[in-house]
Amino acid sequence: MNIIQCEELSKSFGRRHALQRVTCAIDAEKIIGIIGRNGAGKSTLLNIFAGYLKPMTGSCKVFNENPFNNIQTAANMIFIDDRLSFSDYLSLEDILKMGADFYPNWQNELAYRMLDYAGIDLTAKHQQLSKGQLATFNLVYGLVSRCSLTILDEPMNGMDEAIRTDFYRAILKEYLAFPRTFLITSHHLQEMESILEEILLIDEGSVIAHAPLDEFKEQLISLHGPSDELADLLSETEVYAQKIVAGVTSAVVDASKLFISEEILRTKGIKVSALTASEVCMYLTNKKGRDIDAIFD
Amino acid sequence: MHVHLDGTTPIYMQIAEWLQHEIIADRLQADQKVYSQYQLAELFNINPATAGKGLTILLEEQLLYKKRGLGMFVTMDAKERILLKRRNEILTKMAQEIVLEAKRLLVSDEELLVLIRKTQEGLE
Repeated sequence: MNIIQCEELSKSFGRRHALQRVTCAIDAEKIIGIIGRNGAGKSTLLNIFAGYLKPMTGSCKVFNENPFNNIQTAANMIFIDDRLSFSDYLSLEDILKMGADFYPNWQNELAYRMLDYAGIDLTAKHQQLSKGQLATFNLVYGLVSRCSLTILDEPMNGMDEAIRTDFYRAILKEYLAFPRTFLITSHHLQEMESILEEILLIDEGSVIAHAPLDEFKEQLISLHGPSDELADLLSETEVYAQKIVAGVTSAVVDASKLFISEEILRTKGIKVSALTASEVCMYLTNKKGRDIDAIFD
Repeated sequence: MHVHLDGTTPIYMQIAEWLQHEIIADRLQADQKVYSQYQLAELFNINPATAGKGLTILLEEQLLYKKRGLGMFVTMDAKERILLKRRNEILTKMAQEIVLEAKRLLVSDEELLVLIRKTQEGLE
């Protein structure tokens, strides 16, 4: 079942195209990583899902409704990012109390336990918190609201590594206890990939990949071997990156366009290896021919 | 087991392999119930869908069977089948690598056979 359905969605800010004809569907009860370079359009897309921004053309349906200024979708959805702000007059404890009044599935006791674990004082005011504490509080707020659609935009920004590891596990445990849709953006894909079911890769305002994590990873492979053996092979497939040093070629290619078995490659002295998810993201979003080395030539 | 994230083996394959190890080591015995995908998710800190994929591999190879509403159980001859499969697949692959490496190092066929025999004797 889809809980989000977007068709031909476009959004511009002035002359800059933030999103261009995005079509995608998000299933219910999955943890999905939204990945992309800085300025790729991730936050714009999430803000449209959340109903904070209105698309210029195309349609977006969340729970089968237009989310823009819609109280019905807002009640079943929570959007957490570092701009989340609460009244200056309220203590964290008061903020939690308000959350409990608004969200029907709210877990107040769990919020207390998580904040206590993170060493955050409930009598503090929201704006008194350090950057990392603020991110932690916001994430806890997002988790205990148990909304069917939970959007976390860079939730771990500013947190130290230990607490990040703890809270990825907290997200997973909360998901197991109460399955819901999580959309999570992060620049540290490697840290969170184990808890993801799918990945949605955005580049220059378009969705360029949306697949289960393993399939996503397996679409590219890396080949390493003698240049003379590899030259023919590379001319027949799509090459994403290539380096030749002293007669040895390393290349990243499209796995689906390689019609030769690993065994045969091995007999030619060519080593085949898989890539990590974040490497695949990097190669898929790299401009063809763009190379940091070229700057120094 | 620790799941290697930067490793190149997909997580679901690592889960499938771990389960096979548990069967070989008799920690999971014939007709015993195996972990659910949710237990595996919790145990290895992975998405339950990924854990489910690992279980599906064993199900497809008939190392596990399903009882409706009760979960998955180890097949009677699972252990023997895993051992047989490993012998066939892994040893073949390793033999291939040894032969290739020997060729690269210009080791003759006789020398290679002598080396293997010696290694065997050394272990006995």
